[in-house]
Amino acid sequence: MRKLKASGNELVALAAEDAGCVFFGGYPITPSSEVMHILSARFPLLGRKFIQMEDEIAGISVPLGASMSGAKSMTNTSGPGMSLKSEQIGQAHMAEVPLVIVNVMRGGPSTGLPTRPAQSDVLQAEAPTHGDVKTIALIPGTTEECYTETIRAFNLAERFMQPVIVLLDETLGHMARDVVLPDLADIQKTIVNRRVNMSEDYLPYNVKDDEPAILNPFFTGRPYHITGLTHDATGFPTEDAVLCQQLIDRHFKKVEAHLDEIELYEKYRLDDAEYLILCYGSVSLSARETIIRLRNEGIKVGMFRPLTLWPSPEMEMSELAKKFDPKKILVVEMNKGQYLREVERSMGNRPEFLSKVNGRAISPLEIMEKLREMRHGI
Amino acid sequence: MSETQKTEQKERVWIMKERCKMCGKCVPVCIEKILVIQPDPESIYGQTIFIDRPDRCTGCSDCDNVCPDFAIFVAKKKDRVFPKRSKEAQERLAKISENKEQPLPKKEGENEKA
Amino acid sequence: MAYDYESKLRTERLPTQWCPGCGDGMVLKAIIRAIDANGWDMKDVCVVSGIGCSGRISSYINCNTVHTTHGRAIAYATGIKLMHPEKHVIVVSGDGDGLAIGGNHFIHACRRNVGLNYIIINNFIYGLTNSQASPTTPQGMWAVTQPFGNIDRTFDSCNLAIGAGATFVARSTTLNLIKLENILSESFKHKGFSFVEVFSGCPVNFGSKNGMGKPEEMDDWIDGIAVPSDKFKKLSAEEKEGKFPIGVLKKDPETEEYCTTYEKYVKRIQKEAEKRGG
Repeated sequence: MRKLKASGNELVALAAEDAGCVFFGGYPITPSSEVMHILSARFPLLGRKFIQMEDEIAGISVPLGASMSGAKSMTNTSGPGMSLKSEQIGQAHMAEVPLVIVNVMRGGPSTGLPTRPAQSDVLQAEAPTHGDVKTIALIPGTTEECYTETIRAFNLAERFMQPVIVLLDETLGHMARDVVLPDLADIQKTIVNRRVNMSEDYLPYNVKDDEPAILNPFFTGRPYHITGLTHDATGFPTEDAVLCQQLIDRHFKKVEAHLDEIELYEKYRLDDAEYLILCYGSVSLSARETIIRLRNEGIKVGMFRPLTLWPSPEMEMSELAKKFDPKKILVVEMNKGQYLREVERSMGNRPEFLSKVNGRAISPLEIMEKLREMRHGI
Repeated sequence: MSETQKTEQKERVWIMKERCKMCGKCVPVCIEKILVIQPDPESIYGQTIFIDRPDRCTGCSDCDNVCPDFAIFVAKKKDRVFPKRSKEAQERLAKISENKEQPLPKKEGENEKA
Repeated sequence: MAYDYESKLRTERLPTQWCPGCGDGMVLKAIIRAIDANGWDMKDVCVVSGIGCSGRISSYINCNTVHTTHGRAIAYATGIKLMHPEKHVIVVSGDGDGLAIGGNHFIHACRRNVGLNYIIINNFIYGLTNSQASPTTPQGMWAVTQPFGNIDRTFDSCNLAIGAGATFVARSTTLNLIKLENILSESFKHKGFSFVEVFSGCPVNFGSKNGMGKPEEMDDWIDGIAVPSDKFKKLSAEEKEGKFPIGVLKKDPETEEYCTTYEKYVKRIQKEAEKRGG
């Protein structure tokens, strides 16, 4: 156990260090810059690589280049930067290059509310680029989880050979608390490293139809080609109708066939609950407080909280729909309902909704008030 | 055995037809004028480069050096005996060197115009 | 003398996808020869390209190759080079790729001096996407998006590179393979960031609508605008209009390469931290 006082951004940086990330490239943007600040001091000290690039696009291209050549890499950004990075995320999906992208969400669109929290990039995380991609996006709900989910993001990225997005928001990013982290030795046991294939007949994309590509580190083994064009098993461009279909199908299947390795959610006091709060990220801090207070009043409330936001825990949510009356389910988000649609789709009904987009965190009082409204049918 | 290796054994200069796109850059640079464009109904370009009098190839590799498509091969001088430059070619070269503005050997007619 | 390219090519990918008479093949040849001239093992070379006709170069050369997104080749290559400072990373872009959409990365790569070998193949047009005007399309010339003659001013990428602080700047053409090889070979020897602009003919998408549809006509035009740098200096300002010097234009071997600087920086702060710790 490691006890320390830290903010979410600081823990993301620590997690990068502990996960064995050796390359950081990025561009400063509020409210995510602290990750960069810390790594700019830590990485050179550890003999790892840190570089501040000239813009957001270069900020993701440079770690992607490093990652292609075999290095565990990450970048961080915030809403507008995420939009600028979007084309390269497509390249990373197509070429199957792992990368951890930390997006500390702020109010938007455009420059919006740069210093205030929001959960405005949830849909963007599902479709962060052009084309058909199956993204993995994680969303920590507590300060500790900023550490553990970043570690998990690195593991998932290397396992599935694709970018993994970690969504923080300004509240989690900047709020410093006392945290207790798992021991480094325990974390190191869980670390996933990239697979390599040094055989003579190695082809980077010659894998089973539900498995990710194997990209050997550059300058070792048989040289190969990486492209953003639709390619065949060799990595070279193709327009063959069957191969094009197979490639994109495999990108989806490698995630969909291994949901058990990706999905993570928390069920908080659901066993005897009459009301269900469905939320994620920093909102869950307020929701947890709400549940404690309402339970003191004798109102049985529980919470369901996805930690893997995308792919969404749709099976679990549809199970919940069977247990709870839609009038007794409350979805709370700091956006205009970006996840609500996914909840509705999974549950097959329309739950109650509480939203706030004015750059202020949702307080427990607000959630309590909404639940009371629901209770008394006002 | 690939076509490259096959032909390599007997020829001084040869063309890999499947790589040639008929840009024609090699034709004017051959000082011996042994590369000729000829009609070829079987080629998708309707024509191919024909090697006329390959015995006169001096192995200078100028054609190889202007080919953007890796289509022309000239045997290495250590592997093959090449003849000396012909008289006509020497005369052509002299004319070209008089015209200092032109860095590359051109067709005769063009040089006179310039 | 006949040169054997076959062993360094992915021959199964040939013929190349370029149009007849395209200069890109010449640049590919010169790169292969320059790699050889420097005695580099193909296992230690990485070729990174962007989008455009030039982007396809990476698929024909037999080493670790990356075909990246439009304009970002340098940024990707920077990541590769930082992780492998002892390896050779060659970046190939087109004029649209490197000077328009990727212009920002270009100037900052010049500034940083990461030891990349950057080659811009300038064919004066967006060839792959069918003849739109590029930053290097000469004024007055036809392009699909400048159907009445280009009104935009032209970029001189070498001056741009010098201004941005590049430590090796050269310009060459595809007219003479051996000269191009020599320039590339010299640029590969340079420790820091080296930049070579190569004037290359595009008879199909640029030449044909500008009265230079044949490869040799295209080459003649390039020959007219590319003047050896010593001759260029003697020209009057009027004569210089529309012409560009070729040859090595700047060479500064003194400025330290970025990866070396980074290594020293790491050692210094590690030592300082050790002192503080002890």
